[in-house]
Amino acid sequence: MNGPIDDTGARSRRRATATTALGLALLAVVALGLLSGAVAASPADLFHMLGGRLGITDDPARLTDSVLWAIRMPRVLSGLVVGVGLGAAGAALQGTFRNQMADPHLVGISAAAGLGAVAGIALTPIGGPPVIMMVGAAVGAVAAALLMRRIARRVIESSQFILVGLALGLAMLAWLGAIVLAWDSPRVPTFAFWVFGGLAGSTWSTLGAGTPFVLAGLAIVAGSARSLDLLALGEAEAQHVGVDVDRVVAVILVGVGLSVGGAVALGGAIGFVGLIAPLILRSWIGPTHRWLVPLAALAGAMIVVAVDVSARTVAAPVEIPVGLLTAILGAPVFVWFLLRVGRSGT
Amino acid sequence: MVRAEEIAYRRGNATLIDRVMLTADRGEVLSIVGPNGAGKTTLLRILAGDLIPSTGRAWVQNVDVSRADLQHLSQLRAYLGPKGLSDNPFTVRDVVTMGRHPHRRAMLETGEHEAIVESAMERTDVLALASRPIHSLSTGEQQRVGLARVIAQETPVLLLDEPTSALDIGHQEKVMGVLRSLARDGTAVVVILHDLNLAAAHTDRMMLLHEGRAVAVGSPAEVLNSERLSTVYGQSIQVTTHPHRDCLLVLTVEASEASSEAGTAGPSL
Repeated sequence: MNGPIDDTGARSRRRATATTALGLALLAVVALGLLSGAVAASPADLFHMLGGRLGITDDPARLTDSVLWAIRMPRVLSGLVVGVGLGAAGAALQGTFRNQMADPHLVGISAAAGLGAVAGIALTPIGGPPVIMMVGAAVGAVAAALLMRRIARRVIESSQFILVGLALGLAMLAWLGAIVLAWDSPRVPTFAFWVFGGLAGSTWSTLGAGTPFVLAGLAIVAGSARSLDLLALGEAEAQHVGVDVDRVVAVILVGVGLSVGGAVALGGAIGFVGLIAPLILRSWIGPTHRWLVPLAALAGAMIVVAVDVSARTVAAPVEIPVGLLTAILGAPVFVWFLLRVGRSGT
Repeated sequence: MVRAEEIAYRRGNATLIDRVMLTADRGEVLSIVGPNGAGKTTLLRILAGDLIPSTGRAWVQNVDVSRADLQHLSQLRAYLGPKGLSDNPFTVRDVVTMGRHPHRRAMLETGEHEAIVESAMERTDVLALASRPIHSLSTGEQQRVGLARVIAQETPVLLLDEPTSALDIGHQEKVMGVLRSLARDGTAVVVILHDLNLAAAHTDRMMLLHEGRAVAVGSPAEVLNSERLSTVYGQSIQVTTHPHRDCLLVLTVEASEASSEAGTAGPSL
């Protein structure tokens, strides 16, 4: 296989296409998310609500105004923020561990965030702000991410790393389940939320508390894009070209933890988004993290909002947990990827 | 230049490197040879600053490598390890460009980094592969890309751990030629080689390591001695002169039955 075409130009065209396509798709699913549901709403209702909120019109309030503003807006935006957090964290994890199977959910970071969140709830006074739970989730996720780094140093095989993460994640999930079931308090989201996620409880207040964590995580990870590229050489090799690997990896993993912590506190444990968004984007636009991280975040947002719309409409009035659908759709993609990797021998 | 004084490296009760002295000046290619487990890679990693010696010190350009900061060190020495780059999703050009990272803040004309990357790829014969992802290349091609990356790093010292191990005979010669021309341009090259004939033909000085000790250092003619090699390698070896080139030729003379007796004579060197 000789005589390849220089793809530098092709790559930048694909980046432009991907950005446009994902941006438009995100706008479309956000609009769909706002308009679909038990109370029918039209685009006119949406503009009416926005007009009223922004003080452009003084029309008398409609019923749809409060549904759109108080229920659907925070829900759709929470889905968006959760997707951003998972997509960016997935891209960063895969880069840090040079392992395309790494996913915050698969390696137990989501479960640790759940444990941290429940600890945070326990520490919150009744009626207290949701931010303490967010801090708990972030602390749990950061701790798990740093633990995975220690594990990655001891195991060489990438699938062994995933198995260890999976086992630790299952153990943490079991502890989480035991605590949630034993505590049995209305202040704690149900066990199902911590296993399969869900955006039904989204409010402006939780959205406001969780978003800064995700955005801080995204900023840290995106700011480490160059180091993530160099880590692809291997840790020793990155060090030889002047990267302070231990410091850089710790910083990235704190970013991952903040993103995942915020995402889990908002939407529970939603799997496969952090796995698949970067996977697809890498084969689409190439491995350069300066583009991969933000576009994986965009793709993650699009996926979570889209799946959440399906989750509340396919079996309406019954609502399917978001994470159930991402697993139903994502697991086969993951299996396909593993088999493809096995065949090509990389 | 590279200098090591009385380097020792112990782990537990094992002495992996035992009081080794080494210098490689600018303009010189120094090869380190020796049997498996002799301590070659450990020694090179000490020179690179990866491992801190138990005693002794190593300097690159008069900078103590165990104390230099990573950024500064990355401008003084480049290191190519023996492992490939198999899982890397980046293209050849991307990876070679990563060799420029230490100089990213240097005041260079636009396009100068690109020209350096281009020339490094050309020297190692990977220019035609520039836009291929690393994981699609053969091991030998990956090895040449690795070499292009460290050449692009443009450091006064190059430390290479078996850069020819996966190369065909043509590319072996070509790569050794590149190392010699880098030395002519003022680089100090320290290279671990298994192929004694490559070392004999292309390096200015050799160090023969055995069980962590430098048993011989000097020109190929001084180091490559039939008796000494037979003892160190536990294999009957004959050193003769190359029929067409002005260098020595190392040949094995019989199958390895003779090895067990010769092998035990090691410490008497």
